[in-house]
Amino acid sequence: MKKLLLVLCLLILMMSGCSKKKDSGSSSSSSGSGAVDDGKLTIGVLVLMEHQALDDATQGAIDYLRAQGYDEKKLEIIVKYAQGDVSTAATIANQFVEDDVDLIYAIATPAAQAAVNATKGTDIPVVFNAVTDAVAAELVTSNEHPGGNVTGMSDEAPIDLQLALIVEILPDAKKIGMIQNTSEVNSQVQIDIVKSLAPSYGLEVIVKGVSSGSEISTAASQLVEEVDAIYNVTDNLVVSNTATIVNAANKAGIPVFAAEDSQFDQGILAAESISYYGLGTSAGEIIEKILYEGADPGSIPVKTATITTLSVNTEVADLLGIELPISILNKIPSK
Amino acid sequence: MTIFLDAVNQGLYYGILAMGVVLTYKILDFPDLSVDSTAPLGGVICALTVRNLGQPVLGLLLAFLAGVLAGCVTGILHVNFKISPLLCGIMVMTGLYSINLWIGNTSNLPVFNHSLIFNSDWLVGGILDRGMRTLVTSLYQMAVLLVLVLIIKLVLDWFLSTRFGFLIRITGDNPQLVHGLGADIGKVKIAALAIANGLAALYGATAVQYLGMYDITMGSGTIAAGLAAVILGTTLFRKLPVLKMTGMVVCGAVLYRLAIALAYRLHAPISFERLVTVLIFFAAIALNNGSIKSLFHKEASHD
Repeated sequence: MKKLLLVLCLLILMMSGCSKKKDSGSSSSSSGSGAVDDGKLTIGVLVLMEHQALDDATQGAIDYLRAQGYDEKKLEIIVKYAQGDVSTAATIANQFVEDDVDLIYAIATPAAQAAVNATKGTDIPVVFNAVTDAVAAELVTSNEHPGGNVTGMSDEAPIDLQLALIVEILPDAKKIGMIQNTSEVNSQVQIDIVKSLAPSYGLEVIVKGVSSGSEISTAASQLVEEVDAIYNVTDNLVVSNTATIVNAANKAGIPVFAAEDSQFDQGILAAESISYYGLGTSAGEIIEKILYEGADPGSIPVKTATITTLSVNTEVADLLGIELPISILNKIPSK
Repeated sequence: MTIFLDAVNQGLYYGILAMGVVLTYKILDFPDLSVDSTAPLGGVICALTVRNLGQPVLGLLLAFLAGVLAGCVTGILHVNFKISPLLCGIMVMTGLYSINLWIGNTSNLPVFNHSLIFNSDWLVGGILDRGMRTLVTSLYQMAVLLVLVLIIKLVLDWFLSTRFGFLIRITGDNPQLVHGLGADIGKVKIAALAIANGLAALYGATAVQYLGMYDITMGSGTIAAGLAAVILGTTLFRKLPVLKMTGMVVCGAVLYRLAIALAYRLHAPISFERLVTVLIFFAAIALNNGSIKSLFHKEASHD
């Protein structure tokens, strides 16, 4: 029994001990204004899980802020990953609130929701990223006028540009296949947009739903028998499993297009892509405005990536026997 | 301080899950995987009730009932169709995933802008100091959770002491005896699974209200968390019989969340948090059962 008490005391001591160390490290934690004392600010970065696109969004913001001259002495950036677990996301968000960080940068929808929930009743601003529909996620009341203390970047891809690219490279394409992660709301939002836009490009959309990485191989190999091309949206599960999809598709001679380029090297034919790193940079600008220019987060509109980069893999085109139109070849930088 | 309270709060709602898991895993000897989907089932039903009807308490009740129904399905698959426990769990877990998506019509439902059992605006509205506000909010949430968990614990303790509860307890150890007492062992199993999954759904519903959101991914790893809480609790607190099995596993769940919070608090290198969590578990168990001591005093104890 004594041992048990000892274990409990140790746990509690370690937790309170660590938090004390943290407090003295940043500033007095009594109130929000305390942070200004030594001029050093702290950002808590809450990332839902380890994943290339989300890492890019994190790094883009950090690199931007560091490049602006906010070095370690002026700005502390604490990055925490929630391992995909929503309760852990809440734990991290609450720790950030307890540490009295000056801003939380939350990446992916559930992480943003956890941050908004934890900062309720405080004056800690939240900047989110990699959220496709911030209004449906109830993070903001509208994209133009977010209201509250929350704003950020939406990763909604310019789907019309991407469908145009598919038609340009494959003029005879009739059916495009998509894999939908049924457990991710971002995936659903984008696929609904694709479905509504596809008819005007003369395309039919065939969707296979998956709920875990292990189902992707089956879904992809079924999909390639029915479609002329596969189009991957910015879905965490799909992006993580790009290699599996590309493998199944290229084996059947079907090209894969993607909405973002973090997995481009895995054998994607072409992408008119948004860049998560670029989204991160834009989020970095928003963070700078809030922290250093006193901007009100609620009046900074939620933006989407407007700049896209065309990437085309000519080796994959050769492999699949696809002749790229001159119009495309002219657009890509010669290597 | 708030971090500590937050971890205890999360542990308390995980305790509801642990009380369900202990019933099936420890008492009935039935490792029930269906909780991975009954937890989000409770979550989605609660989220919809809160969003559409503004009734957080009703949300908890409906979630519990839905979980009971799902548990009956697991039970009927096992008892009437003679399917092995693990397979029943996998079937219900997998099938229910689609049903959860269908019920919610989406995989993510925010509830933080709605009326919830944890809303403390009426209590903290007048407090201006931010630190004080978060502290009072956490304490209020803890009070709500303690009441909820205590009610469930006492009801479950009482239930396990009834004749039917006794049957559940001996079904795991000695099925022949249940038969000998003239009871229908199938009905006993179905009832226990129904209650356990009802509790798992209630955990999901409480988590949704505490986290301010429902996300279908909240289900994955539910059984692992539940088992961790049960094993930690029954190992570390076995010398405190006054807690009963139910109390032990609630304490186990609190320790489980404390260990996770600690791993993050310690600023473990990114992506090593899970390993650190396990090391904390190990340290807690080893310290408690004295195996560390015996390691150092090996010779002494042998001589």
